[in-house]
Amino acid sequence: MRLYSYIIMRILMIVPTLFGLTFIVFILSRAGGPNVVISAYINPHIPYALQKAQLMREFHLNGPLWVQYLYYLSGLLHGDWGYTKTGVYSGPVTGAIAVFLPNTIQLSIAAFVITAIVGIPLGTISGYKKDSFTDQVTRIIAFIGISLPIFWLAQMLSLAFATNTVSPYLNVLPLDGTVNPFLLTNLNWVSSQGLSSPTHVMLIDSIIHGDLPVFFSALSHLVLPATTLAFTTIAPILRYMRASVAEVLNQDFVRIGRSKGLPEKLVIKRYIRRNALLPVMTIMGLVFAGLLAGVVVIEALFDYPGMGYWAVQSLINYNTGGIMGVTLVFGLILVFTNLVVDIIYAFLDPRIRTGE
Amino acid sequence: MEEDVLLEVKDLKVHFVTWKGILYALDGVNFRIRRGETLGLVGETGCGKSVTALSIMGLIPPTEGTIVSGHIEYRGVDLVHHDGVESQITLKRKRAKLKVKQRIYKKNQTFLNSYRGSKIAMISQEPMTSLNPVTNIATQLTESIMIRGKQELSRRILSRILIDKKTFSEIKKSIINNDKHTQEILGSDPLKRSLMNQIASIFARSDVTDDYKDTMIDRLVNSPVPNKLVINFLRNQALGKDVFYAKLPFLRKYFLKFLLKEAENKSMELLRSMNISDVERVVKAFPHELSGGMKQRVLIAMALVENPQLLIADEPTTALDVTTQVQILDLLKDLKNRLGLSILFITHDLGVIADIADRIAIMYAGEVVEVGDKMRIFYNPLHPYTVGLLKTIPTESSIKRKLPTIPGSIPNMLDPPVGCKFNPRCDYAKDACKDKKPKMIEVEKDHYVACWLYTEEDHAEP
Amino acid sequence: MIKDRFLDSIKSRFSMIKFTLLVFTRNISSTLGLAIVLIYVIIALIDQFYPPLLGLTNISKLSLNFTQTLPQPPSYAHPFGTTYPGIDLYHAILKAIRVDIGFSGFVTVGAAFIGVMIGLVSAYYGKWLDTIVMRITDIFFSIPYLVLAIAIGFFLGRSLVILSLALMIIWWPIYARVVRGQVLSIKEYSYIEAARASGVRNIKIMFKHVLPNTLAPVFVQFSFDLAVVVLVIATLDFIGFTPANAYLPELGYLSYIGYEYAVNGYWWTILFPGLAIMIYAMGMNLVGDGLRDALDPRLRR
Repeated sequence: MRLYSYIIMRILMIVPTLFGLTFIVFILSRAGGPNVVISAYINPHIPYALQKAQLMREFHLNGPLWVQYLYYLSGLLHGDWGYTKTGVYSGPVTGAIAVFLPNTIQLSIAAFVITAIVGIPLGTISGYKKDSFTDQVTRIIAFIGISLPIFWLAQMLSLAFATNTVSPYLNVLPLDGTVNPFLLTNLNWVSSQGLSSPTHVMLIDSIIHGDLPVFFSALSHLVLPATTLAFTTIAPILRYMRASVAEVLNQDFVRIGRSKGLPEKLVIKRYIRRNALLPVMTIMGLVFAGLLAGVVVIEALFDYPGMGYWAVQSLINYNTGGIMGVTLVFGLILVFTNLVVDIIYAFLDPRIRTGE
Repeated sequence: MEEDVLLEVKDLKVHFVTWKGILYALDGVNFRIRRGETLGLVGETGCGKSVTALSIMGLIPPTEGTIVSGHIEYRGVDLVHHDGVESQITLKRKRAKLKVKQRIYKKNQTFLNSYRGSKIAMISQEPMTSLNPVTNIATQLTESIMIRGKQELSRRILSRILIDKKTFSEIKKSIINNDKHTQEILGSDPLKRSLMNQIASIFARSDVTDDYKDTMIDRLVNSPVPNKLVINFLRNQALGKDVFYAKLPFLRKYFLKFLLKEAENKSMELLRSMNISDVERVVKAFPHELSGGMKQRVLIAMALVENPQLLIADEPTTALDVTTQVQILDLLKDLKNRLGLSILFITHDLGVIADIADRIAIMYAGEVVEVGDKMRIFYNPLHPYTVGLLKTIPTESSIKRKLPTIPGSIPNMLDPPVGCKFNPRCDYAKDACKDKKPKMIEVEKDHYVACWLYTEEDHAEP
Repeated sequence: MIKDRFLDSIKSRFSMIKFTLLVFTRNISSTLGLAIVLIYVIIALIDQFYPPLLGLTNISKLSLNFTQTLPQPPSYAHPFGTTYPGIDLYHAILKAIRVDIGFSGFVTVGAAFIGVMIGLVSAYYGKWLDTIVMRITDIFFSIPYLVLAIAIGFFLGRSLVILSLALMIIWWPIYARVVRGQVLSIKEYSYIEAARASGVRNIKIMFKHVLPNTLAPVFVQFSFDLAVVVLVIATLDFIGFTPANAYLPELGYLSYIGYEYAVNGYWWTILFPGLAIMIYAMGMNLVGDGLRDALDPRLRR
């Protein structure tokens, strides 16, 4: 009833946001001057000036800005997202996305799962048993987590677990990449560039093809990146959850629920947790944005071939197509995630549905 | 102990811990509630009325305070002894700390849970914030029944399915003709009694015509019969036994749905008896969609859904406007008559007490100073505080004069006065009042007071 | 007369500030945080105005020494060791503190100022202005800040100044949202209605009555943001935002230089710069926590 209409409304609200997103990317791309835009299409063997004139006509760079924008939009909708020339991948941007995105998704989901499984229950306990030993320890960990530079934590953990610096016994995890490349030789479901089929996600494909050593290798390569990412994401959630639970515990209805003789487990589930989750959900969007930002750093650090890695490479190598593609994709992911979060929130909090 | 004493509170002392020291919230509360009677607990803000209510229910948060001594006996069973003795309050440089043994506390809470809701229930003064905002009314009403009342629910469903036509018409006739004798005989069988109750509640409704009532009663036994598996499940449930196939993850919901529907029907009946008209809408709604008065009525229904014998009403009308107040009070009086409910009614409004209470207990600074029959207290107030309170009620003759007040203010419970706590403000204070706490004595029949005016100092017992 | 009332209002604001400080300092961890932050700020100020005090010259560039390019472990001569090429980490970190704190302060103050103004006006006047601003903030919340910063840097130039401006643009929506929430609830208070009814002009109401009461959460957000922005700037420099040959004294940049060496055993090259950032962030977060607790009306006993 009300929930459906809210969902519809929320989906419609995406449209201006999408326009805004594409517009920002577009404006930025034009801000550097026409040379930047056409750089990806330049053939180094043909004189520059000749190509420039033709390319400028092709991309309508002579016309008014809003016309360019419309052409750009139509290009996007038709699958033409530009061209990229990086060391790792050269070709249409959409192709690059198909290569890099699965790895990023794999990493993000792993980190997010860890965050949800550890962060929410731990935050709840921390708030429920305020000032207990568990609570104090959790608070300290959370506090360190929000003060840490992501790259520093990644480096330190790498030093500890992927090198002999701390102790040779701890050197159990690999340092870079998604999987041990030596395991990939002569496998028919992996292309020469390291792309696995059918999903490009090594973790899933290795299960599909029943190749356990590859699976475990992929898993072990995932541990360090996902854990560092999760750590920085869990920290603010721990703090928010704790504050929220403490807030809810003071509310009247919790006391009334207990006075009805309900078992404490039910009170925690239905009265405390469900109400405490609400404010935390409102910051989920921001938390996920932070997660995506962290992904960029982690991928660059661990040589993990995902969207973030591609972004950094594009930045250093002056690759326009790459930058625009990454920004658009990340933007789309975040818009979509925000939508899902809002819908879940509406599902959890009936007050939203019947009007503000 | 007398036979029909429901709740007895003996010398209850409760302390809270604060940054500024120990707060002596209750320092010896004594009263008794019998079956079917309404005791009005009167006192100023801050005298400890709510704390008393929470202590009876065992809802003082262990991080804030605890019962340090005294007894709370519900039909002879002590509700306190598991808890208070095991926790310790220590004082450290003006900062009070409370240590509670978690395991014992949890055990006590589980024990109390068997009383809460089913034997003692509570409604509080803030209806706006007392309902869980994320679950609908139906869920909140059926929660407690689904935990503890599955037996009775199964019985209700089975009574409609298994009873033959002949018995049915017997029961129906006995209700319509108000034949108490037949009702007694038939009521010995639990299934028949359950059906009887269902028919009676339809019969008692005032919002439908008699013809329609007849149709509804007949419809009771003509409801579709569920399959054998469900009947077996219900049969076992009615005996309190769980069936293994009903515990399987996916099937569980299916079986519980029958019970849930029945619980919802029962709640809707209850709501109807509280003069709520469009029950279907209310039941599906969420708390924020209801008005204050409606919420309070829902809260009362929630408290009564398991037919408790004692209802603790902590200032239920303070947050409502006057017209709603009257409605709620009428409702409570009606419930008192129909169900034989005992009520501990807490308020600071003497007018409300005069209306609804049978006996009154006057509280001051954490103690009960005077308790007894309502009329006796109103016509013969003994304790100087009571006298002062009654004087503050505006009457016709006081229109032209300044309203009398009791000079001074309530004592600081962090450092209460020695002896009788009222002595700084009392016009009749003697030396004895400043030293020793007076004991509660019976001055006339069912009229007790704790005041040195009525005892000789050397008669005070140890 | 008017001057007296003005002085009174300043005095009352002052006593409020004094009271807040009192509650704040009662908390040990907050004062510790404040002390840490002050140390950093003092270092930054010395860097700016009188570098020789710390033994530093050429404050805006790292001092290179190509005779000893391999990183040296911590020793008496180099308390934090050195990193490639021959940069003494102790001096480098001291120089970098000025850059990091300066730019993060610049970004946060700018973002706060813009955000508060926009949030205040849009929430106060409401209706379509509010809706438009809300949509714009939504758009900004839809792009991960790091990626957007990279994009802006890519197209507009990779200097720290551009970076700061980019971050400012990315960050103001948060303040707008915070202020908006506050204003929307304050707007309904009766004293605003009273002011309007007695004919006070809207702008004056906005600034004199509404704004001061919205500032509490803004300050809290401000202190947390100072920590976050430092982390963001350092992170961006770490992934290579600033061109590699600029040798900018910046903590993230130092980590960037040191990383290849660190994995081969020269661990101090990344430990100390990172630690420097982390301690500052911890101090700032402590201050933020303390402020939030101090300003919470329930805890002000």
